[in-house]
Amino acid sequence: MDPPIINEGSFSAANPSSYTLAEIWPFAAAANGGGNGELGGGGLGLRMSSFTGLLEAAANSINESTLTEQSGRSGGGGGAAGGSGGGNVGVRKRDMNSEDDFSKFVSTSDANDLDGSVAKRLKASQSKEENGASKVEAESSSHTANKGTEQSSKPEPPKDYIHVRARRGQATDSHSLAERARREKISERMKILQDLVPGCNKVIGKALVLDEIINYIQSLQRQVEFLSMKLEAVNSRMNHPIETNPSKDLAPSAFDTTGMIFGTQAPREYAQGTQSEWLHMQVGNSFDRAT
Amino acid sequence: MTTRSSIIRTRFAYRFLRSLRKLNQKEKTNSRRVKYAAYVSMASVVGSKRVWSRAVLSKIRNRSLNPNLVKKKKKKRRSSEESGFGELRKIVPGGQVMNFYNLLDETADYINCLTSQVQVMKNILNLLST
Repeated sequence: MDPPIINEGSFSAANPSSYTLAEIWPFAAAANGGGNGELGGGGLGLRMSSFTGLLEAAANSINESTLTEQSGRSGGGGGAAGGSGGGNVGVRKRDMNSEDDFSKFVSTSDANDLDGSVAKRLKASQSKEENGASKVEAESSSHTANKGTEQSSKPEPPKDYIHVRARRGQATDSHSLAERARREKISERMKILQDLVPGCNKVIGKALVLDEIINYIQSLQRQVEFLSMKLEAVNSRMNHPIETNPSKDLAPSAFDTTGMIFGTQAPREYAQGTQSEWLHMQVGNSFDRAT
Repeated sequence: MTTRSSIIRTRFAYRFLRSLRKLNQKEKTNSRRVKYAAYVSMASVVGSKRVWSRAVLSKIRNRSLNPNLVKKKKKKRRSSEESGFGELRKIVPGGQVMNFYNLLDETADYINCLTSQVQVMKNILNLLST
C-alpha cells in the first residue's frame, strides 16, 4: 500500500472505514475503473496517476456490460463506491452533489459493514449472476480488512516489550504485554533467590518462597547478632593481646586471616593448596590497598 | 561470583577487625556496638552501589546522631506499607522505597553478603576463642 492513499482516505472520510478500504485497494481500483468509465472522471485519473497502469489492467478485465449493469443497478451508488474505494475527495464531492445517500451511508455505518457492502457491490459489478460467490468474496474481503486493522494497531506497544510474544489466547494489548514482561522478570529474580536460599527449591508457591526467604534473612540477622554478642565477650576478654599488637602487623602476621575468612575446619574448595597461596596474595593486596 | 564474594570477605574481615580493635580501646562496649560495627563494615565494603548498603549506613549514622528522627520516619513509613511483601520490605534495609523488582534484586545481594558476613564472623570467633 502507498501511504499517501491512506492519508487521503483518512482525511476525506475521517473514519476508519477509509483506511480499511485503502487496504483492499485492488477491488477499489477495479471499482475505480468502473467509476472512471461511467463518470469519465478526469479528476480521478489525475489523482490516481500512479495507478493508471493497474487501472487499465483492471478496466480490461471489466466489460462494458458490467459497467452498464452496475450503473443501472445502483445508480450513482456504484460510482460513489468507486470514489470511496479510491479515497478521493473530488469524486466524493461530485457524488454528493448528485446524490447524498452515500454520505449518510458513510457517516452511519461502521467499518466492517461498509467494507462488506462495498465489496459485495464491487463483486456484484464484476460477476453479477452468482450471489453466493459474491457473498463468499465479500466475507473474505471483510476478513482481510479486519486483518488490516489489527496490523495497524499492533505496532502500538513500545519497543521495550517487543520481545514478549503473546501465546494463543493471551491478550495482546500493550498493558497486558508490559504486565507479562514484568511478571517474567520477577519470576526470574525469584528463581535466583530460590537458588540462594538453601532448601527453598522444593517449596512451591510464591508466598511460601517469600516466607522462606524472610525466615532465612531473619535467621542470618539473628546469627549476626548472636555472633556479635559472642565476639564482644571474647574481644573484651582478649583486650590485652590485641592492644599489644601494633596496627600494621594486623595483616597476615598477627592473625591467619585466610583461616578467618574461609574457615579452617570447613571442607571447602578454598582450602585446597593451590588456591590458598593465591588467596594469601589477594588478602595482602587488599590490605595494602585499604591501608 | 566466587571471586567477588572472596573479595567481599577479605575486605569485610579487615574492616571488621579494625573496628573491633577500635571498640576495644573504648571503655564501654556492648554487643550492639559490635553488631553495628559488623553491619557498617559490611555495608561500606559493598559500597554505595547497592540500595541496602546505603540504607544501612544512613540508618546507623543517623541513629547515632539523632535517634528521635529515625523513629519518626519509621512510624511514617510503616503506615504506608503493602500487605503482601511488606515483611520483606521491612527486613531488607532500604526496602521501603523500592519497587518490587529492585527489592528482589537487593534481597539477593543482601543474602549473599549476610551469608559471607556470618561465615567470616564465625571464623573470627573461632580463632579468637581458641
